[in-house]
Amino acid sequence: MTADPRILVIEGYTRKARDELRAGGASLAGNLYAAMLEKILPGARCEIVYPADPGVALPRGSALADYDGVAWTGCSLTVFEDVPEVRAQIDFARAAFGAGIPGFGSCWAAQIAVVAAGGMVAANPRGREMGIARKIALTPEGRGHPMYDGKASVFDAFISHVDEITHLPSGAVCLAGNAFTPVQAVSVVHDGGVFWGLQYHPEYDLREMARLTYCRIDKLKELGFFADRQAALDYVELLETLHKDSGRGDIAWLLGIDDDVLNEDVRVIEVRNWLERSVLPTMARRR
Amino acid sequence: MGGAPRLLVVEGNTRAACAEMTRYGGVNGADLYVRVIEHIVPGAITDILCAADPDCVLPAGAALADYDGVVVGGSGLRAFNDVPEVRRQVDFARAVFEAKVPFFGSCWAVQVAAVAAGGVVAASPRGREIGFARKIELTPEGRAHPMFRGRAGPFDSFAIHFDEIAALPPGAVVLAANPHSRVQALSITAYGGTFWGLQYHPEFDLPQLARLYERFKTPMVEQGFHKDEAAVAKHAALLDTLHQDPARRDLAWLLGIDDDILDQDTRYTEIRNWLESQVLGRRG
Repeated sequence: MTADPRILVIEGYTRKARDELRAGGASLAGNLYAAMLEKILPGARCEIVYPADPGVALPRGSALADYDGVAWTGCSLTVFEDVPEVRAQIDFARAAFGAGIPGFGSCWAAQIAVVAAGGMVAANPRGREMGIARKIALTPEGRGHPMYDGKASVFDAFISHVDEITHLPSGAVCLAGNAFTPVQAVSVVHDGGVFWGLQYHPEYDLREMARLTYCRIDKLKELGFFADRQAALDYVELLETLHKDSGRGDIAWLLGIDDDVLNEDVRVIEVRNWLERSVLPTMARRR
Repeated sequence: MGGAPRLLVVEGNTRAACAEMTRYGGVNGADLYVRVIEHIVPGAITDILCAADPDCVLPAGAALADYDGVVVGGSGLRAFNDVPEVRRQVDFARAVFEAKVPFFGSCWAVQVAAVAAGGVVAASPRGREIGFARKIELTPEGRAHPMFRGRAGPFDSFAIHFDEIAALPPGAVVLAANPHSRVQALSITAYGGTFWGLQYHPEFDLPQLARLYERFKTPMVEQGFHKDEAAVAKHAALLDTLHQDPARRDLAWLLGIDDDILDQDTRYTEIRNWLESQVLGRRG
C-alpha cells in the first residue's frame, strides 16, 4: 500500500479576508493546513483551492474521485448566510460525502459538514470564543472514537468563532464539548461519506494565534477581550515571546496553558488519527 | 437533636506560620473555613482548634463527639516529616476518624487524613501546583459521589501544594484528578469514620491567592512561576482588580478562568454538599 494520499485542501477565506490576514503577518489557512498534513504524513500531496474566489470551480465527478481526502480550513464566512460562495461550498461538501471521500476540518469546516448533511448552525448566544477553548471534554462517544485515540479526556485548544452547531443531522455524533460550545467536535456520516470536524483549530500555534489576534484587535477590543489597544498588543507580545522561547514557563502559567496547546504532537492528534485511521484505510479500499 | 450545628475547624499551621500569613494580609486556613461555613449555614457554631501547637486543647467541657463535623484547612507542613506539629495532627485525625464525626478538609487535610489512615504522602514529581488547578475531572466514582452533586463537566479551582498522595490508604476512593495530581479529591473510610477531602482550595478567593503570591514571591520566582518580583506585584494587582470588579471579563479571559473560580456558589459546591448531606443531614 502506498502511503502518499492526494488531499484537496479547501480554503474558504475570500481574497479580501486573505489579504487582511497577510497584512497582519498571519499565515493563510490553506497553507497552514497543507503544512500540517504534510508534516504529519510526509508523503501526502496537498492541493489548495480557494472556492470563495470568483470563477474558481471545485472538482466534481472523476476529478473529485482522484482525491483521497478533503481537508477544510476555517474561514470568515457565515454558513447560514445564503450567498453564492457559501452555497457553492455546501454543494461541494455534499458531493464529497456522495463520493465517499474522507473529510476533515476545523471551525467553519465542521459547520459546513453539518449543514450539508441537514443540520443547523447559529450564532452562539455566549458570543465569541477566542484564544483558548478551555476544558473541552470528550463525550462517551468521543472517548471511543478513533479520532481521539491517544488524546486526554479533557483538553484545551486554540479557537476563534462566533457560530456554533445547534442541531446535528441524523448520522452525526457529538464527540466533544465544553461549557462555551456544546459541540466542539463531530463525526458526520452522510450519503456514503464520513467527515470528522472540530470547532477548534489544531493547525494553529501561538504565533498564529498572536497574529490572528493582532489582525482582529479593534473587533476584540469592542467585544471586551481587551481593556484597550495596549492590553491587546501586550497579549500578542506574550504569545510571541512564549512561542520563541518555550522556556518561559511563567507565561504559560499566567495564561493557564499547557502541552494541550504548546506541544504540537499533542495538538494534532486528531489530524494524525484522521490520516491514519480514515484516509489511508479508505484509500486502500478504493484503489 | 436541635439547635445550631457545631463544627470544629482546625488550623493546620503553627501560630508562627499563621502570624506570617497575617503579616502579608492573607487569611489563615481555619478562618477561611469559618467564613465559608457561616456563609453556607448561617448561625452555625464554629470552634477553632490550633492542632499544630503543643498547647492545643478542645474548648473546656467539649469532646470530639459533641461536634457535628470537623473541618481541617490548609497548612505549609509536610505530612511525611516526623516532627511534633505533624505527629499531633496525624494523631488528631485518627481520633476524628475513631469518633465517627463527619470529617472534611482541603490540601493538608487530605494529606494528614491519608497518613492517619495508613497512606503515604510525598513531594509531587511534577513540582508545585499553585494558582489554579486546571481541568479537574471526576472519576466514575466521583461522578456518583454526593460531594460532587451539581458538578457536571471538568472544572478549575484554587490550589497551592508541593505534596501529593503517593500511596492511597485502605478504604480510600479517588474522586477527582487532573494532569498535575492524580488525587484531587478522595474519600477515606478508616477506624469507622469517613473523611471527604479536596487537594484544591474551594475556600480561597482571588485576594487570598494574591497575598500568597506576595508571601511566596521569592520561591515562586526561583521556581519559574514569575519572571521577577515586579511580575509578582503586577499579577497580584491583576487578581485584586478582578476581585473588586468582576465585570473585568478581559482579565478573567487572560487568566483563562471562569465561574468555576469567580462564582462563589459554584466554588463552594463540595463544601455545601458535605455540610448538607453529612452534617445537617445526619442531624435529621
